Amino acid sequence: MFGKKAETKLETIIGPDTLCQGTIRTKGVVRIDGKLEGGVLEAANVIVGDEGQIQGDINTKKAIIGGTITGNITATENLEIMGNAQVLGDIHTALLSIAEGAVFEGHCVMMADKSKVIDMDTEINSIRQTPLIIQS
Amino acid sequence: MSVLKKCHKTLRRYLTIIFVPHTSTKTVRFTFTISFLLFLFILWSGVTIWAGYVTGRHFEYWKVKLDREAIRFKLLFFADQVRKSQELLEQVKERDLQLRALLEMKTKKEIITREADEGRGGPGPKDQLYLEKLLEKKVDELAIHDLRWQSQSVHKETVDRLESISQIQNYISYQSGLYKATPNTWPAEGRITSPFGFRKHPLTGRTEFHSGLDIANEKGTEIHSTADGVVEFTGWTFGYGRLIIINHSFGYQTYYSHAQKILVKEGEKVKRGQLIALMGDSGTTTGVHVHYEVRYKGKSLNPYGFLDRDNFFKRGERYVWKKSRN
Repeated sequence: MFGKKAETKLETIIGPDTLCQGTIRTKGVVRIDGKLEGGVLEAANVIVGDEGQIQGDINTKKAIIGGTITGNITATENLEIMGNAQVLGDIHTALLSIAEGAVFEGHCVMMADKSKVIDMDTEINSIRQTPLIIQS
Repeated sequence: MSVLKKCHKTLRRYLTIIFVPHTSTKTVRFTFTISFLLFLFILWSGVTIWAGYVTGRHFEYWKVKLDREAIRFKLLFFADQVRKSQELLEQVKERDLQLRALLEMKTKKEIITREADEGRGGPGPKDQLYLEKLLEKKVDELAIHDLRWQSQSVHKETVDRLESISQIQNYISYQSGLYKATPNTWPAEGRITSPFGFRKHPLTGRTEFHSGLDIANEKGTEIHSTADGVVEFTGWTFGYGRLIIINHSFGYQTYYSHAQKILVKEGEKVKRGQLIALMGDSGTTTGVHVHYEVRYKGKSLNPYGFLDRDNFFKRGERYVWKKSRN
Protein backbone atom coordinates (compact mmCIF):
# COMPACT_ATOMS: atom_id res chain seq x y z
CA MET A 1 0.00 0.00 0.00
CA PHE A 2 2.81 2.36 0.77
CA GLY A 3 4.69 1.72 -2.42
CA LYS A 4 6.99 -1.07 -1.32
CA LYS A 5 6.39 -2.70 -4.65
CA ALA A 6 8.16 -1.18 -7.61
CA GLU A 7 4.92 -1.28 -9.57
CA THR A 8 3.24 1.26 -7.34
CA LYS A 9 6.25 3.30 -6.28
CA LEU A 10 6.07 6.69 -7.97
CA GLU A 11 9.58 7.65 -8.89
CA THR A 12 9.49 10.51 -11.35
CA ILE A 13 7.06 13.21 -12.32
CA ILE A 14 7.72 15.43 -15.24
CA GLY A 15 5.48 18.40 -14.79
CA PRO A 16 3.28 20.02 -17.45
CA ASP A 17 5.63 22.89 -18.22
CA THR A 18 8.77 20.78 -18.45
CA LEU A 19 10.80 19.65 -21.39
CA CYS A 20 13.07 16.71 -20.69
CA GLN A 21 15.67 15.54 -23.14
CA GLY A 22 17.19 12.15 -22.51
CA THR A 23 16.36 8.63 -21.57
CA ILE A 24 14.70 7.81 -18.29
CA ARG A 25 15.72 4.51 -16.80
CA THR A 26 13.88 3.55 -13.64
CA LYS A 27 12.35 0.58 -11.75
CA GLY A 28 9.33 2.45 -10.46
CA VAL A 29 6.47 4.47 -11.86
CA VAL A 30 7.02 7.40 -14.20
CA ARG A 31 4.43 10.06 -14.82
CA ILE A 32 4.85 12.42 -17.67
CA ASP A 33 2.71 15.52 -17.98
CA GLY A 34 5.24 17.57 -19.90
CA LYS A 35 7.43 16.83 -22.90
CA LEU A 36 9.98 14.03 -22.99
CA GLU A 37 12.40 13.80 -25.87
CA GLY A 38 14.03 10.47 -25.44
CA GLY A 39 12.66 7.25 -24.10
CA VAL A 40 11.70 5.37 -20.99
CA LEU A 41 13.43 2.09 -20.27
CA GLU A 42 12.73 -0.77 -17.83
CA ALA A 43 9.97 1.12 -15.97
CA ALA A 44 7.29 -0.67 -13.98
CA ASN A 45 4.57 1.66 -15.08
CA VAL A 46 4.52 4.58 -17.44
CA ILE A 47 1.67 7.05 -17.13
CA VAL A 48 1.37 9.71 -19.73
CA GLY A 49 -1.04 12.49 -18.76
CA ASP A 50 -3.53 14.05 -21.10
CA GLU A 51 -1.11 16.84 -21.93
CA GLY A 52 2.00 14.66 -21.94
CA GLN A 53 4.16 14.11 -25.01
CA ILE A 54 6.86 11.53 -25.57
CA GLN A 55 9.12 11.36 -28.56
CA GLY A 56 10.93 8.08 -28.25
CA ASP A 57 10.48 4.42 -27.38
CA ILE A 58 8.81 3.21 -24.21
CA ASN A 59 9.84 -0.08 -22.65
CA THR A 60 7.79 -0.99 -19.60
CA LYS A 61 5.64 -3.56 -17.86
CA LYS A 62 2.49 -1.51 -17.85
CA ALA A 63 1.57 1.67 -19.59
CA ILE A 64 -1.35 4.08 -19.44
CA ILE A 65 -1.27 6.50 -22.29
CA GLY A 66 -3.33 9.69 -22.23
CA GLY A 67 -1.20 12.02 -24.33
CA THR A 68 0.80 11.89 -27.52
CA ILE A 69 3.44 9.24 -28.16
CA THR A 70 5.71 9.25 -31.16
CA GLY A 71 7.64 6.01 -30.97
CA ASN A 72 7.27 2.32 -30.27
CA ILE A 73 5.66 1.05 -27.09
CA THR A 74 6.62 -2.28 -25.56
CA ALA A 75 4.45 -3.15 -22.57
CA THR A 76 5.11 -6.69 -21.33
CA GLU A 77 1.98 -6.93 -19.26
CA ASN A 78 -0.65 -4.37 -20.04
CA LEU A 79 -1.21 -1.38 -22.28
CA GLU A 80 -4.07 1.06 -21.93
CA ILE A 81 -4.66 3.77 -24.45
CA MET A 82 -7.10 6.40 -23.27
CA GLY A 83 -9.69 8.22 -25.32
CA ASN A 84 -7.76 11.37 -26.22
CA ALA A 85 -4.42 9.70 -26.78
CA GLN A 86 -2.39 9.70 -29.97
CA VAL A 87 0.02 6.88 -30.57
CA LEU A 88 2.19 7.04 -33.65
CA GLY A 89 4.28 3.89 -33.66
CA ASP A 90 4.23 0.14 -33.16
CA ILE A 91 2.85 -1.61 -30.13
CA HIS A 92 4.10 -4.81 -28.45
CA THR A 93 1.93 -5.93 -25.58
CA ALA A 94 0.21 -8.89 -23.94
CA LEU A 95 -3.00 -7.12 -22.94
CA LEU A 96 -4.32 -4.22 -24.89
CA SER A 97 -7.19 -1.84 -24.48
CA ILE A 98 -7.85 1.12 -26.68
CA ALA A 99 -10.61 3.52 -25.76
CA GLU A 100 -12.97 5.11 -28.19
CA GLY A 101 -11.59 8.22 -29.80
CA ALA A 102 -7.96 7.23 -29.51
CA VAL A 103 -5.62 7.67 -32.43
CA PHE A 104 -3.26 4.81 -33.24
CA GLU A 105 -1.11 4.66 -36.29
CA GLY A 106 1.22 1.71 -36.49
CA HIS A 107 1.59 -2.02 -36.14
CA CYS A 108 0.36 -3.96 -33.20
CA VAL A 109 1.95 -7.21 -32.18
CA MET A 110 0.52 -9.24 -29.36
CA MET A 111 3.19 -10.95 -27.29
CA ALA A 112 3.42 -14.71 -27.04
CA ASP A 113 3.11 -14.90 -23.31
CA LYS A 114 -0.20 -16.70 -23.51
CA SER A 115 -0.32 -17.80 -19.90
CA LYS A 116 -0.76 -14.21 -18.83
CA VAL A 117 -3.28 -13.41 -21.49
CA ILE A 118 -6.84 -13.39 -20.35
CA ASP A 119 -9.40 -14.52 -22.88
CA MET A 120 -10.51 -11.50 -24.80
CA ASP A 121 -13.25 -11.07 -27.25
CA THR A 122 -13.03 -12.32 -30.82
CA GLU A 123 -12.00 -8.95 -32.14
CA ILE A 124 -8.65 -9.19 -30.45
CA ASN A 125 -8.29 -12.86 -31.38
CA SER A 126 -8.67 -11.82 -34.98
CA ILE A 127 -6.05 -9.15 -34.43
CA ARG A 128 -3.62 -11.84 -33.44
CA GLN A 129 -3.92 -13.53 -36.80
CA THR A 130 -3.53 -10.40 -38.90
CA PRO A 131 -1.72 -7.37 -37.57
CA LEU A 132 -4.17 -4.61 -36.85
CA ILE A 133 -3.75 -1.35 -38.65
CA ILE A 134 -6.01 1.44 -37.71
CA GLN A 135 -6.05 4.44 -39.93
CA SER A 136 -7.23 7.72 -38.53
CA MET B 1 16.92 36.83 17.64
CA SER B 2 18.54 34.51 15.14
CA VAL B 3 16.39 31.66 16.37
CA LEU B 4 13.29 33.77 15.84
CA LYS B 5 14.49 34.72 12.39
CA LYS B 6 15.15 31.10 11.55
CA CYS B 7 11.71 30.20 12.78
CA HIS B 8 10.19 32.95 10.71
CA LYS B 9 12.09 31.84 7.65
CA THR B 10 11.04 28.24 8.13
CA LEU B 11 7.46 29.27 8.49
CA ARG B 12 7.60 31.29 5.29
CA ARG B 13 8.91 28.29 3.29
CA TYR B 14 6.59 26.68 0.78
CA LEU B 15 5.34 23.13 0.71
CA THR B 16 3.59 21.40 -2.16
CA ILE B 17 1.24 18.49 -1.93
CA ILE B 18 0.61 16.76 -5.22
CA PHE B 19 -2.03 14.13 -5.75
CA VAL B 20 -0.86 11.96 -8.61
CA PRO B 21 -3.48 9.61 -10.04
CA HIS B 22 -2.09 6.48 -11.64
CA THR B 23 -4.19 7.20 -14.67
CA SER B 24 -3.85 9.85 -17.33
CA THR B 25 -6.12 12.30 -15.49
CA LYS B 26 -4.55 15.50 -14.28
CA THR B 27 -2.53 15.76 -11.13
CA VAL B 28 -3.77 18.05 -8.40
CA ARG B 29 -1.28 20.12 -6.51
CA PHE B 30 -1.55 22.42 -3.53
CA THR B 31 1.16 24.78 -2.47
CA PHE B 32 1.17 26.40 0.95
CA THR B 33 3.53 28.12 3.25
CA ILE B 34 4.40 26.07 6.28
CA SER B 35 2.75 28.62 8.55
CA PHE B 36 -0.52 28.16 6.67
CA LEU B 37 -0.16 24.41 7.00
CA LEU B 38 0.49 24.83 10.70
CA PHE B 39 -2.61 27.01 10.95
CA LEU B 40 -4.59 24.36 9.07
CA PHE B 41 -3.26 21.68 11.36
CA ILE B 42 -4.20 23.66 14.47
CA LEU B 43 -7.64 24.41 13.04
CA TRP B 44 -8.11 20.76 12.20
CA SER B 45 -7.04 19.73 15.70
CA GLY B 46 -9.41 22.26 17.20
CA VAL B 47 -12.29 21.06 15.09
CA THR B 48 -11.48 17.47 15.93
CA ILE B 49 -11.36 18.20 19.62
CA TRP B 50 -14.58 20.17 19.44
CA ALA B 51 -16.22 17.36 17.49
CA GLY B 52 -14.94 14.88 20.03
CA TYR B 53 -16.33 17.01 22.83
CA VAL B 54 -19.70 17.33 21.12
CA THR B 55 -19.80 13.62 20.44
CA GLY B 56 -18.86 13.00 24.03
CA ARG B 57 -21.75 15.13 25.17
CA HIS B 58 -23.99 13.26 22.85
CA PHE B 59 -22.69 10.04 24.26
CA GLU B 60 -23.38 11.39 27.73
CA TYR B 61 -26.92 12.12 26.64
CA TRP B 62 -27.40 8.54 25.50
CA LYS B 63 -25.86 7.30 28.67
CA VAL B 64 -28.23 9.42 30.71
CA LYS B 65 -31.14 8.17 28.65
CA LEU B 66 -30.09 4.59 29.26
CA ASP B 67 -29.59 5.31 32.93
CA ARG B 68 -33.01 6.80 33.10
CA GLU B 69 -34.46 3.63 31.65
CA ALA B 70 -32.51 1.54 34.12
CA ILE B 71 -33.69 3.75 36.96
CA ARG B 72 -37.25 3.40 35.75
CA PHE B 73 -36.99 -0.37 35.96
CA LYS B 74 -35.32 -0.14 39.33
CA LEU B 75 -38.11 2.08 40.56
CA LEU B 76 -40.70 -0.39 39.34
CA PHE B 77 -38.83 -3.16 41.03
CA PHE B 78 -38.57 -1.28 44.29
CA ALA B 79 -42.19 -0.24 44.19
CA ASP B 80 -43.03 -3.88 43.83
CA GLN B 81 -40.68 -4.76 46.67
CA VAL B 82 -42.26 -2.15 48.91
CA ARG B 83 -45.64 -3.62 48.18
CA LYS B 84 -44.37 -7.09 48.99
CA SER B 85 -42.88 -5.93 52.26
CA GLN B 86 -46.17 -4.29 53.06
CA GLU B 87 -47.95 -7.57 52.54
CA LEU B 88 -45.37 -9.34 54.65
CA LEU B 89 -45.83 -6.75 57.35
CA GLU B 90 -49.54 -7.47 57.25
CA GLN B 91 -48.69 -11.08 58.02
CA VAL B 92 -46.34 -9.98 60.77
CA LYS B 93 -49.13 -7.88 62.21
CA GLU B 94 -51.45 -10.87 62.22
CA ARG B 95 -48.86 -13.03 63.92
CA ASP B 96 -48.24 -10.29 66.40
CA LEU B 97 -51.90 -10.16 67.29
CA GLN B 98 -51.96 -13.94 67.62
CA LEU B 99 -48.94 -13.80 69.86
CA ARG B 100 -50.57 -11.15 71.99
CA ALA B 101 -53.69 -13.26 72.24
CA LEU B 102 -51.51 -16.17 73.28
CA LEU B 103 -49.85 -14.13 75.99
CA GLU B 104 -53.21 -12.73 77.04
CA MET B 105 -51.90 -9.23 76.96
CA LYS B 106 -55.28 -8.07 75.82
CA THR B 107 -56.15 -7.15 79.36
CA LYS B 108 -53.75 -4.29 79.20
CA LYS B 109 -55.71 -1.20 78.42
CA GLU B 110 -53.08 0.25 76.14
CA ILE B 111 -53.22 -2.80 73.96
CA ILE B 112 -56.96 -2.71 73.68
CA THR B 113 -56.78 0.80 72.35
CA ARG B 114 -53.95 -0.12 70.02
CA GLU B 115 -55.85 -3.05 68.68
CA ALA B 116 -58.85 -0.92 67.99
CA ASP B 117 -56.54 1.34 66.08
CA GLU B 118 -55.08 -1.48 64.04
CA GLY B 119 -58.34 -3.27 63.53
CA ARG B 120 -58.90 -1.61 60.18
CA GLY B 121 -57.49 -3.95 57.58
CA GLY B 122 -57.56 -4.62 53.89
CA PRO B 123 -56.24 -2.51 51.06
CA GLY B 124 -57.52 1.04 50.97
CA PRO B 125 -58.48 2.91 47.81
CA LYS B 126 -55.00 4.41 47.65
CA ASP B 127 -53.55 0.93 47.76
CA GLN B 128 -55.69 -0.28 44.91
CA LEU B 129 -54.88 2.71 42.75
CA TYR B 130 -51.24 2.12 43.35
CA LEU B 131 -51.55 -1.53 42.41
CA GLU B 132 -53.41 -0.70 39.22
CA LYS B 133 -50.74 1.75 38.18
CA LEU B 134 -48.08 -0.77 38.95
CA LEU B 135 -49.81 -3.41 36.89
CA GLU B 136 -50.12 -1.10 33.92
CA LYS B 137 -46.44 -0.28 34.28
CA LYS B 138 -47.30 3.38 34.20
CA VAL B 139 -44.44 4.15 36.42
CA ASP B 140 -44.30 7.77 35.31
CA GLU B 141 -47.75 8.31 36.74
CA LEU B 142 -46.63 7.01 40.08
CA ALA B 143 -46.33 10.30 41.79
CA ILE B 144 -43.60 10.86 44.28
CA HIS B 145 -46.06 11.37 47.10
CA ASP B 146 -47.62 7.99 46.28
CA LEU B 147 -44.28 6.31 46.67
CA ARG B 148 -43.53 8.32 49.75
CA TRP B 149 -46.85 7.45 51.23
CA GLN B 150 -46.25 3.80 50.46
CA SER B 151 -42.78 3.68 51.94
CA GLN B 152 -43.86 5.78 54.90
CA SER B 153 -46.68 3.41 55.68
CA VAL B 154 -44.24 0.52 55.55
CA HIS B 155 -41.90 2.42 57.78
CA LYS B 156 -44.65 3.31 60.24
CA GLU B 157 -45.91 -0.24 60.25
CA THR B 158 -42.41 -1.55 60.92
CA VAL B 159 -41.93 0.87 63.78
CA ASP B 160 -45.29 -0.14 65.23
CA ARG B 161 -44.42 -3.81 64.96
CA LEU B 162 -41.05 -3.26 66.53
CA GLU B 163 -42.66 -1.43 69.39
CA SER B 164 -45.19 -4.17 69.78
CA ILE B 165 -42.49 -6.81 69.73
CA SER B 166 -40.45 -4.95 72.29
CA GLN B 167 -43.57 -4.71 74.43
CA ILE B 168 -43.99 -8.43 74.15
CA GLN B 169 -40.33 -8.90 74.94
CA ASN B 170 -40.59 -6.65 77.95
CA TYR B 171 -43.64 -8.52 79.05
CA ILE B 172 -41.89 -11.86 78.72
CA SER B 173 -38.73 -10.70 80.46
CA TYR B 174 -40.83 -9.08 83.15
CA GLN B 175 -42.80 -12.25 83.57
CA SER B 176 -39.71 -14.40 83.65
CA GLY B 177 -38.08 -12.05 86.17
CA LEU B 178 -41.25 -12.05 88.19
CA TYR B 179 -41.34 -15.81 88.08
CA LYS B 180 -37.79 -16.03 89.33
CA ALA B 181 -38.48 -13.47 92.03
CA THR B 182 -41.74 -14.98 93.26
CA PRO B 183 -41.34 -17.58 96.01
CA ASN B 184 -42.88 -20.85 94.96
CA THR B 185 -41.33 -23.64 96.98
CA TRP B 186 -41.26 -24.81 100.54
CA PRO B 187 -38.43 -23.17 102.47
CA ALA B 188 -37.88 -26.41 104.37
CA GLU B 189 -39.35 -29.85 104.70
CA GLY B 190 -41.68 -30.35 107.61
CA ARG B 191 -45.21 -29.93 108.73
CA ILE B 192 -47.14 -26.72 109.12
CA THR B 193 -47.62 -26.10 112.81
CA SER B 194 -49.11 -22.66 112.62
CA PRO B 195 -50.78 -21.08 109.56
CA PHE B 196 -51.01 -17.45 108.48
CA GLY B 197 -53.68 -15.37 110.15
CA PHE B 198 -55.14 -14.59 113.55
CA ARG B 199 -54.26 -17.09 116.23
CA LYS B 200 -53.64 -17.46 119.86
CA HIS B 201 -50.01 -16.84 120.68
CA PRO B 202 -48.49 -20.01 122.08
CA LEU B 203 -46.46 -18.19 124.69
CA THR B 204 -48.45 -15.12 125.65
CA GLY B 205 -51.87 -16.65 125.01
CA ARG B 206 -53.17 -13.50 123.40
CA THR B 207 -55.02 -13.49 120.11
CA GLU B 208 -52.85 -11.81 117.56
CA PHE B 209 -52.02 -11.73 113.87
CA HIS B 210 -49.53 -14.36 112.75
CA SER B 211 -47.72 -12.84 109.79
CA GLY B 212 -46.08 -16.04 108.55
CA LEU B 213 -46.12 -19.77 108.27
CA ASP B 214 -44.47 -22.07 110.78
CA ILE B 215 -42.88 -25.21 109.41
CA ALA B 216 -41.53 -27.57 112.04
CA ASN B 217 -38.93 -30.28 111.68
CA GLU B 218 -35.84 -31.57 113.42
CA LYS B 219 -33.03 -29.28 114.46
CA GLY B 220 -30.57 -28.75 111.65
CA THR B 221 -33.03 -29.27 108.83
CA GLU B 222 -31.89 -27.35 105.79
CA ILE B 223 -33.66 -24.11 104.95
CA HIS B 224 -33.60 -23.10 101.30
CA SER B 225 -34.30 -19.83 99.58
CA THR B 226 -37.66 -19.96 97.84
CA ALA B 227 -36.73 -17.57 95.00
CA ASP B 228 -33.76 -15.73 93.44
CA GLY B 229 -32.69 -12.63 95.28
CA VAL B 230 -30.14 -10.81 97.40
CA VAL B 231 -29.65 -11.33 101.13
CA GLU B 232 -30.76 -8.09 102.71
CA PHE B 233 -30.31 -8.86 106.36
CA THR B 234 -28.84 -11.56 108.55
CA GLY B 235 -28.64 -11.46 112.29
CA TRP B 236 -30.39 -11.59 115.60
CA THR B 237 -33.65 -9.78 116.13
CA PHE B 238 -35.89 -9.84 119.11
CA GLY B 239 -38.63 -12.42 118.68
CA TYR B 240 -37.39 -13.67 115.35
CA GLY B 241 -34.11 -14.97 116.70
CA ARG B 242 -31.61 -15.56 113.92
CA LEU B 243 -33.32 -13.98 110.95
CA ILE B 244 -32.57 -13.90 107.24
CA ILE B 245 -34.34 -11.45 104.96
CA ILE B 246 -33.98 -12.00 101.25
CA ASN B 247 -35.01 -9.26 98.84
CA HIS B 248 -36.27 -10.76 95.58
CA SER B 249 -37.08 -7.39 93.93
CA PHE B 250 -40.46 -6.92 92.24
CA GLY B 251 -41.52 -6.00 95.77
CA TYR B 252 -41.06 -9.47 97.19
CA GLN B 253 -39.22 -10.22 100.41
CA THR B 254 -39.03 -13.45 102.32
CA TYR B 255 -38.22 -13.87 106.01
CA TYR B 256 -36.73 -17.01 107.51
CA SER B 257 -36.41 -16.90 111.28
CA HIS B 258 -35.52 -18.92 114.40
CA ALA B 259 -32.56 -20.38 112.53
CA GLN B 260 -29.90 -22.35 114.33
CA LYS B 261 -27.20 -21.30 111.96
CA ILE B 262 -27.09 -18.73 109.16
CA LEU B 263 -25.07 -19.88 106.13
CA VAL B 264 -25.20 -16.73 103.95
CA LYS B 265 -23.87 -13.20 104.31
CA GLU B 266 -25.56 -9.88 103.75
CA GLY B 267 -25.39 -8.75 100.14
CA GLU B 268 -24.91 -12.26 98.83
CA LYS B 269 -26.84 -13.28 95.77
CA VAL B 270 -28.90 -16.41 96.28
CA LYS B 271 -30.64 -18.71 93.88
CA ARG B 272 -33.91 -20.48 94.33
CA GLY B 273 -33.31 -23.65 96.32
CA GLN B 274 -29.95 -22.50 97.66
CA LEU B 275 -29.14 -23.56 101.23
CA ILE B 276 -29.23 -20.50 103.45
CA ALA B 277 -29.69 -21.68 107.01
CA LEU B 278 -30.30 -24.59 109.34
CA MET B 279 -33.49 -24.89 111.33
CA GLY B 280 -33.33 -24.07 115.02
CA ASP B 281 -35.21 -22.57 117.96
CA SER B 282 -33.56 -19.18 118.40
CA GLY B 283 -35.76 -16.27 119.49
CA THR B 284 -39.20 -16.48 120.91
CA THR B 285 -40.29 -19.97 120.13
CA THR B 286 -41.77 -23.12 121.59
CA GLY B 287 -39.91 -25.56 119.43
CA VAL B 288 -37.68 -26.15 116.46
CA HIS B 289 -39.32 -24.59 113.42
CA VAL B 290 -38.88 -22.00 110.70
CA HIS B 291 -41.13 -18.97 110.70
CA TYR B 292 -41.52 -18.23 106.98
CA GLU B 293 -42.92 -14.91 105.84
CA VAL B 294 -43.64 -13.60 102.38
CA ARG B 295 -43.90 -9.82 102.12
CA TYR B 296 -44.99 -7.88 99.14
CA LYS B 297 -44.11 -4.20 99.40
CA GLY B 298 -43.76 -4.53 103.11
CA LYS B 299 -47.15 -6.18 103.59
CA SER B 300 -47.34 -9.77 104.75
CA LEU B 301 -49.07 -12.21 102.46
CA ASN B 302 -50.22 -15.70 103.16
CA PRO B 303 -47.16 -17.84 102.36
CA TYR B 304 -49.45 -20.78 101.80
CA GLY B 305 -50.12 -19.40 98.34
CA PHE B 306 -46.41 -19.39 97.56
CA LEU B 307 -45.53 -22.96 98.40
CA ASP B 308 -46.45 -24.58 95.12
CA ARG B 309 -44.98 -23.50 91.84
CA ASP B 310 -48.31 -23.94 90.09
CA ASN B 311 -49.72 -21.18 92.21
CA PHE B 312 -47.76 -18.64 90.23
CA PHE B 313 -49.66 -19.55 87.11
CA LYS B 314 -52.95 -20.06 88.89
CA ARG B 315 -52.73 -16.60 90.29
CA GLY B 316 -53.46 -15.40 86.80
CA GLU B 317 -53.00 -12.21 84.98
CA ARG B 318 -55.20 -9.93 86.94
CA TYR B 319 -53.27 -10.52 90.08
CA VAL B 320 -49.93 -9.88 88.42
CA TRP B 321 -51.06 -6.91 86.39
CA LYS B 322 -52.87 -5.33 89.28
CA LYS B 323 -49.66 -5.44 91.18
CA SER B 324 -47.45 -4.23 88.42
CA ARG B 325 -49.70 -1.30 87.76
CA ASN B 326 -48.91 0.42 91.01
